[in-house]
Amino acid sequence: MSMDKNLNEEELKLRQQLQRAVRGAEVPPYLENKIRAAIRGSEARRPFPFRYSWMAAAAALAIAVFGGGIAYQLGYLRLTTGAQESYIASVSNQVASIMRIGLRDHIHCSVFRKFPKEAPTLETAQRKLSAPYRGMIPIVRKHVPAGFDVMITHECGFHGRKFVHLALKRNSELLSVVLARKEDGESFRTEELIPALTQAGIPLYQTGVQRFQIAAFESPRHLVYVISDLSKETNMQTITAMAPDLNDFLSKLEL
Amino acid sequence: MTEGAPAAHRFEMEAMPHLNDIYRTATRILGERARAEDVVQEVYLQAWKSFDRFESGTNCRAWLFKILFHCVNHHRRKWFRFPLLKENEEFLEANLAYSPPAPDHLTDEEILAALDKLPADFRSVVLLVDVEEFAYKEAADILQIPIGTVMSRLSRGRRLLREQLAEVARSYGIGRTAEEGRGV
Repeated sequence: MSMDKNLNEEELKLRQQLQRAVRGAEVPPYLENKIRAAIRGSEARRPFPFRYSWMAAAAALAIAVFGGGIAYQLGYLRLTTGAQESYIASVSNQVASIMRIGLRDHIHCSVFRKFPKEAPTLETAQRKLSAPYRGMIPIVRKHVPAGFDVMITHECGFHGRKFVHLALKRNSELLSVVLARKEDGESFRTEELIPALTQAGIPLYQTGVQRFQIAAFESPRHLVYVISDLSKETNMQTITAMAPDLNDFLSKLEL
Repeated sequence: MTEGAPAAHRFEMEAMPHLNDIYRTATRILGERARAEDVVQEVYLQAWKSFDRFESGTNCRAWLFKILFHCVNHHRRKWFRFPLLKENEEFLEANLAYSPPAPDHLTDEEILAALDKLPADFRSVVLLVDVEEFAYKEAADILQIPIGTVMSRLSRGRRLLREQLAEVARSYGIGRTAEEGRGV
């Protein structure tokens, strides 16, 4: 044990008070269960003994080739809801909590969603949104990189939060513009994120995880995200182009 | 527990009992329960994945704390903009010439609030040594820093904690100011 003998009476008393205060926190029961479930889930993925490893590798390769082919043909991967949630959590936990909000919705609604074969017309896309948000579709279409089509527009709820989501596609590349209504006190500033750059007085924030690039800004009542599997530079260029018009649009909406 | 026992059972017996210790330290280091829960889950999953490399009968608790700080350091580079330690040290040199006594009547909330104000590097050492009662050598191994650095950060962390608590006392109109203590 550490140097109790070097502490005077007052220091010992403070140490005891400190221990009492910190040790007052109890782990929530659901966390313990969650960890056990995660361990059970990963147990099945523990490595085989060496003598079986070549068979496992061959089987995995076969599954990947055939499974990947089928998934490619279908255009998306059919994962269970639990597996999707697990994937979303594992990826999004690697970015700041305020950045997770948009990323989760992008993965949930774009990555795991089957897209229509043809892009809808502007009128059809607008009909899927409530009247106040319809005006954002032309703004988004104007500023996304060439070749991207607005494939899905919708208002959705995920983990108790409402989103307006425009999902765009260019061949196999995905791009989302996600609007989330702010909850109490939410702001990129309070998360102490540093803007990557400022466009027309609007601070733009940026982060990335795995293949996802996330850029964002905020209006008084909304968090706005552009998330894609484009390069970091292209994703930033997209939000840089879009932010002034979208910010004006939201300013009028929030009056 | 023997090496021959199923790994899941050994893990349950050796690692799971320390969940509370890991959780409360993560909460105090990260300052937010949701983040702490994510990190604690990651710690246990990493521990489970490398449990075959853990030598049964050695200090599992210290091993888990080492994984915890590895995860915290990995995440905090992304989540936070921590001030450099150099700045903290300069701040401390300038402000802690006088080590005030801690006031007598403190609530847990006041102590935790004071603890949370410590720079993260000092807070980590105070938590490991004073709360979790690790030896200096163990704390040095967990944090991957020299033992001398542990001792210096602990000393400064404790002084800064007393200073924060003295602030609380002063807000109640108790005690003297640091300037008075220094005779300025």
